[in-house]
Amino acid sequence: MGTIEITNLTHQYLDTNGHLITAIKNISLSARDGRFISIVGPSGCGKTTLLNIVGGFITATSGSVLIDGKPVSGPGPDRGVVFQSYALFDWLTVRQNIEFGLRMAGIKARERADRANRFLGMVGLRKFANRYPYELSGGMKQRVAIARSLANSPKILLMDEPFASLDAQTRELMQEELLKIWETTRKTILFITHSVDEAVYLSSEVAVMSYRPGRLLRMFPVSLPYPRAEYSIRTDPRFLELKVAIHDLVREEITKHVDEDS
Amino acid sequence: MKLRAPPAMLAAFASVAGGLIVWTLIVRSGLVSARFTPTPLEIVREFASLIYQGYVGVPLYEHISSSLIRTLIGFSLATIVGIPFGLLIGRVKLLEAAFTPWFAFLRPIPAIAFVPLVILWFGIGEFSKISVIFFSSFLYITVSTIAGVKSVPVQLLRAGYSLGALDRKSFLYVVLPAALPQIMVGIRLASAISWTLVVAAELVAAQKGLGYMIMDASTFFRVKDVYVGLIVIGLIGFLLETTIAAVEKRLVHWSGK
Repeated sequence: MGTIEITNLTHQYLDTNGHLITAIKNISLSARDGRFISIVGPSGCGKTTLLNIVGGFITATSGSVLIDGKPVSGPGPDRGVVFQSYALFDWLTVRQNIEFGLRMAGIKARERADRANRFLGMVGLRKFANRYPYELSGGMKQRVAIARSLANSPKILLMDEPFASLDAQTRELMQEELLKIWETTRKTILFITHSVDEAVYLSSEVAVMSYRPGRLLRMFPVSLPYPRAEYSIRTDPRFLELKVAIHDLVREEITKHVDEDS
Repeated sequence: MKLRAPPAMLAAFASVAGGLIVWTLIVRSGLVSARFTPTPLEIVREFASLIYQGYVGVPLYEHISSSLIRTLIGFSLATIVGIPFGLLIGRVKLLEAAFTPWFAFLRPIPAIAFVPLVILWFGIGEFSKISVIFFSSFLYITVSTIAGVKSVPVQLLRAGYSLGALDRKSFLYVVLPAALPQIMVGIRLASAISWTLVVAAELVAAQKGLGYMIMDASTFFRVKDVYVGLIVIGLIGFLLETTIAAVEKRLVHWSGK
């Protein structure tokens, strides 16, 4: 299980000048178990705020988030997170990073090692198990972060622009790997990204948000079949069509905002 | 692993050897008064004699060890108290707000300036010297620990939370190790300051210790002993620094990478 039910979520805060900012407004969105949902939208649309609320890191001003029917009251091991900045524990080896959640849960060393091995294998880092994060490339670091979340068996994976700081080639590779992992584990994924291409390529649904205050503009179901990593989906006409439609909507939002400013 | 470049080592060696030769030549030529400036060789001879005969009846190692013991006690106590204190203040906003003005005011005062006051309070015994060392080391270690705690990226904390490291576990398994590089910086600074301070305190009031020795030697025109004292102080300072730097490199190997 891993359903997310977001209802009428609004979040406001005071910025440093004391102005009341509405980051997101009246967002309702539901993700059934095993869905891969991407959220795209212009910069500053509150995508990350939304993810932080689902993660339990901040509390929304109003509205509710239910995970499998239970309201979110704080961060928890049922929701794994992956950040753009990797957020690895630099003082731990790759293996120790992956085992971290299991250690916090008091799981015995032998079982921890078994599970870590499984996820080290899944992300192709067996050979690097005893290295430290600073010895790895960006793509490898993000693999560790993904394995670290998965090893903890969360129901849901929250990913905040996880591939944004990787170079183009690595990024595509990581997208393929994430797809494969998702196709085998079927975790519910909430994926924040700037890239429409990435969103369409990965997701079963793409949510487009408006400029601040972030509202949900439209949900686009992506009807392209899985597994996608095996064929050249990026040249499929349906892929391109959807990409253009989403791209246009996002662009329209950005242009509107630019007009408001000038 | 990088091999040390031989030219760099050669340059360092040549510089030291050249410096000693120039020094000797200047003294020999009479450009400076030989009374106040012995040659390096004379200093080495005096060093040997201090080792075998001691300074005015007190063996050299006793002066060294009293300085070292004072430093180590003050500095160790400061570490033991300063780290937990800094961790606490770094975590609790109100405590930080309450203590910041005190730290901001006290830290810029050179610790040496407290020596006369401390002597008034506690006399010229061990306690006054150790307490000055403790106090200034404590300030440095606490302040850098606070900075370390506050510099832990919020996403690192959140990654920890979502992996089950909440409350005390977050503190122990995320905040503390993440703050460790900064804490070590404070410890390194504090050790250097402690060593400087012990010598300064001994210059003012002591019956033993390297600071006392050079003060006494200068009073009685035992110029060579002043030089030996300075060199020993320098060597020990250098050793302290390299030891702590080595510990730091091992303990927080990930820092700066």
